Amino acid sequence: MEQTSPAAPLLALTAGLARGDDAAWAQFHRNYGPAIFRQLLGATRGDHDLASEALQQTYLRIAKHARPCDSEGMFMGWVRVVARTALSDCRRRRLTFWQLLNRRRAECSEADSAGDDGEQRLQTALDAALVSLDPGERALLEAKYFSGFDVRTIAETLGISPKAVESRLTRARAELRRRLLTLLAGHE
Amino acid sequence: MNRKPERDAKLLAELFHDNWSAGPAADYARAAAAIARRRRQLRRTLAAGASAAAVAALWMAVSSPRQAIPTQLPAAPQPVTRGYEIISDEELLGQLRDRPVLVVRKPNGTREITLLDAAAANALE
Repeated sequence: MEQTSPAAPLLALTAGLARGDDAAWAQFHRNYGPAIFRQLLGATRGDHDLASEALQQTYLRIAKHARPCDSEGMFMGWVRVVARTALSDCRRRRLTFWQLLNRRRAECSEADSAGDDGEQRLQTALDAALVSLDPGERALLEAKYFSGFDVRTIAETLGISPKAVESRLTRARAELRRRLLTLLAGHE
Repeated sequence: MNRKPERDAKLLAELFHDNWSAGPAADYARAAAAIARRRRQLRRTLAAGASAAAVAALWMAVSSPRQAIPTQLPAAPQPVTRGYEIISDEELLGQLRDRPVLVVRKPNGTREITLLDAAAANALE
């Protein structure tokens, strides 16, 4: 969420969001979406279904209320608040009244630190899940996501086809997801 | 290894949504864009409708014939034009003093009294 494309200033991007411009929304999804999803995933402690639902709601609210803005800090703060309130509403819809009361009671003790705490927990779990992966799979994911190599470059380095790299990446992601969810469930 | 937060975010995003930029998650962005367009169109339509209504109302107000507003002026006091005058006894005696008077008896039994000047009295005699 901290990055924006330098080619398109924030003012133009936010004006495009307000207009409903497909290109602006694709850029917003590409540049800001992962960080919003990460925030939501941390806040939901790995409940990716709920995080995805909240992400969708966040986008819809941004579509309704977006205005041209040239302050990155202000825009990011607003987006984070929108994501948090969207998640709260999604939770409220999912829970029955009594479940909500129990949840509120449980949340009282950790109310303020919940967001940052959740993100920290997610980060720790992701690190642990990556470390526990097979070294080949971990190297592949690190090359793709942390070193920023594209699939074609990785394929040339490994001497295999891009399609094979895609297949390996898909398997590695599935394994990492499984381990991450196990770790997050263990933290509950 | 470079572990910027946004790269972790990209990895997490693609762990749960295989192709972030073109997969199901991108549909959320497309749906949001469609909603933003619809809302913008609706706002424009409403604004145009309101402007048109305001112009129409203004036009009707300007072009409709003005009706004269009936004004109720206070009626001017009309002079009393009675065929007789009521006077007091003193006034009557003052007028009769040293004046000839003609008394005419009418067929219905009433009498009409007329003050005469001196010339008229002489002519009658």
